[in-house]
Amino acid sequence: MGKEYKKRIRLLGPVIAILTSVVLLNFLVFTSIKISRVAKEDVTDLKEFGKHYAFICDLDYNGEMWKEIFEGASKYAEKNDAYVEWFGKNLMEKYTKVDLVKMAVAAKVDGIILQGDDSEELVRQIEQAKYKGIPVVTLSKDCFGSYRNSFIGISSYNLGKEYANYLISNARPTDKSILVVIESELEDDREKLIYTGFKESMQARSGKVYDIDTMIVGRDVFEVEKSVRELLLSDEQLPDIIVCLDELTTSAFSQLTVDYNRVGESRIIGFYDSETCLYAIERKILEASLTTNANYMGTKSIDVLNDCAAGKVVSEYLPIDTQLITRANVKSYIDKKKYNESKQVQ
Amino acid sequence: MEEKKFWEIPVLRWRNLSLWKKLYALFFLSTGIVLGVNLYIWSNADKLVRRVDSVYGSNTGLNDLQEKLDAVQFQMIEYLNTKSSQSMEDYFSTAQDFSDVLEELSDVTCNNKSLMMEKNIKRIAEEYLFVADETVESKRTRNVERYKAKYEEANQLYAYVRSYLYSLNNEQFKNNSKQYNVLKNTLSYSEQMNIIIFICLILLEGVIVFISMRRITSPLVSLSKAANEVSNGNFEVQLPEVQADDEVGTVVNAFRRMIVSIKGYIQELTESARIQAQLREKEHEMENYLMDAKLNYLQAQIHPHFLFNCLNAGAQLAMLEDAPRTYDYIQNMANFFRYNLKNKSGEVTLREELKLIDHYIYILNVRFAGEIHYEKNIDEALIDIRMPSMVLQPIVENSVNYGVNDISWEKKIEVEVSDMDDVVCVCIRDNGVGIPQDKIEQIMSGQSTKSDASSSNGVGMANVISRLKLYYHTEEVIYINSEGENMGTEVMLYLPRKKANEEDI
Repeated sequence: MGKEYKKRIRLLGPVIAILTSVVLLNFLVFTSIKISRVAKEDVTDLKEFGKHYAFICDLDYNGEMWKEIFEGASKYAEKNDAYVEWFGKNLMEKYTKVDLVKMAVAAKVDGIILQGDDSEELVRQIEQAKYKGIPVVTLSKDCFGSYRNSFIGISSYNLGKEYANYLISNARPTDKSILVVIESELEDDREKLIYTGFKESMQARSGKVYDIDTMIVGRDVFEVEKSVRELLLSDEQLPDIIVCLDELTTSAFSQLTVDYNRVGESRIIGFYDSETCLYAIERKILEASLTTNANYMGTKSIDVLNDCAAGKVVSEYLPIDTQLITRANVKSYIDKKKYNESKQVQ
Repeated sequence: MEEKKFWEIPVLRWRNLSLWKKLYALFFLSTGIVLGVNLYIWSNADKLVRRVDSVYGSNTGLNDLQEKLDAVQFQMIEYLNTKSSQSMEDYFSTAQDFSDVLEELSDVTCNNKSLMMEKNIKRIAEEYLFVADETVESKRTRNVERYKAKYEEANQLYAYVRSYLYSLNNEQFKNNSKQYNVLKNTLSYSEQMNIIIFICLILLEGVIVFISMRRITSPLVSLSKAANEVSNGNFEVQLPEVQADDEVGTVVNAFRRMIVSIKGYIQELTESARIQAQLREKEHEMENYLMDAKLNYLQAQIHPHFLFNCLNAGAQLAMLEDAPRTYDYIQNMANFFRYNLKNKSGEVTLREELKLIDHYIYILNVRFAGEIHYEKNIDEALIDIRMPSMVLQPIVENSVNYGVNDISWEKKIEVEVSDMDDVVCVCIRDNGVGIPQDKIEQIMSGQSTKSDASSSNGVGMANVISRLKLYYHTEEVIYINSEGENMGTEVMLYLPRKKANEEDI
């Protein structure tokens, strides 16, 4: 017993020494690794790409659609040895699309994905880009008269028709007045075409005379909300049907009708499949929404730019299908969207 | 021979190192560990400090770039305003500087936001330089329209580059601030870890030193315990096992040999002491034998067998011739000598001794015509105690011969036996000439005197005193007292009722 005890006591020293050494070594290695990681320049996961594409859209626009387009383009480009940079987003100063295109041209990017519009300045800059050999793809809205290589988006006239078709097929006898909410005066080709398509279809196919009016809400999110608030707060009766042609106005109506307790007074038809929009359809705030596949637009734009870089001939117009989301299919649509998103992440 | 395992060889080498080498090795090992860990911590801290130093380096670089860009713009405007060759030279010089700095910027397309901004800055700045050159060239060639357009374009590009630089500077400042905070936290973390590391280090050092010192000192401690045991006389102590061929091992071995030597010496000493004791015992025995012999011899001297037989024959003759006084005289003489014959053992009762005095006095009074007056004052209860034979008669004989023999007054001899606690006091007193003090001292010291040789039976005072002391194992047995000249002498015997050896029993 005594000998055993003494033996144990004798072994205690070396055991403590070994344990302390192990703990000491662990601390040393752990500290060293941590310090080395911190001390090292942050160049981890740096991936180089063969091409540099500029993604340019209106920086004032806060909707989800352009984010989705960018993400679609960015992820697809990464797989195709290209990097898509959201031009101007990292700058402290906010620049117009024209300036951003100028910068992109000066930066000698390999291609430009552009939210088009009909401004002459933009047309001129696209011409500059063309002159410098930089292909330009316009999305959602076209740049009529420009040297853009391709336009990817929905046919505005057809979109108007789609709205009309839905309302005709779901017509109610009490419906008399329709309010079409537009961003600006009908100078914009896209909105003009949508409105024209909508109005013509309603008149031609409904067999009923509707009082169709327009409401200009502006491009800025504050302007939009202000206009919608004014409408909802007015003592006047709301129109029977409200048609929103873009994501911002759809979001504004979805939120403000609830805020001002005017849900159900008008049938609101929106645009796009943002989370707010889908939620509003589920909660019966919106009746339906027309949407397009933004992700697909992004991937398609990369395909076009890659084809241009490869010297292939590209189509000037690539139409994108629309899809109608109603209360009947909103759940399955959400499930499908989530599934697609998880698939993309993988 | 058993083959050693690979790890046993260094262990054995370590064990066999000398003590000072071990201590040196221990010192260098612990110092080495401390030094190594310190260097390690220092290198980590250095890495962090360098990184902290370089954190805002990128901002400094961008500021430099912006200054150079401003200089180009300034020189371009200066030339456009003055059109002087100097300003043109300055413009080209600054443009070249700016161009050189631009070369250092990244030009790769990658997924890093800052590097992509650098790339854009570089490209736009190159375009700016190109347009600025065209502007200067247009001014030189006085192409006003082109100069105006190019100047505006250059200004716009300049604004773009500045905006990009400003944004990148901000972006990098944000990143650098974040990094700085991370580095600061890491430094703080590193400090805490260093404290823990040092605690572990101290613990490890402590354990190493403890183990090593214990290994070195534990044999010494065991040895000191063993030495204590040995000093307490335990030579069977277990010595520590010698595991190393170092100084401690040498000391332990030497101590072991020393114990063996001491044990040998002690055995020798014990043997020698035993022999000496035996010798002393023999010597003592011899002394006893010698004393017995001496006693026997002394007794033999007063053992007149022949005389005794002759006296018996004389007594019978006196009886036959009808001479009763002669018969009594011879009978007393015969009894006197018979006493010697009878008491061969050397031990008699006081009664027998007193009887002997009676015979002796009778003989003397026949001889000296009854001149000696003998008086007895005896307690009969005390006279059966045992005592050596032939003690009282020589004392009485001395009193007669040297005390009362030559005195002119009445010669008296008194014998008194009295009780004194645990001793019986026998006092023989005469009224003779007395004994001087120096003479008494000489007698008491046991030195033979002239009287010893001339005593009637060869037993002098010295013999009596010696035998009494030997018999009773005490010096306090006899006293001689004389008050002075012609004051008589008194000899007192203090006879213990029991002999000393009987008391022991």
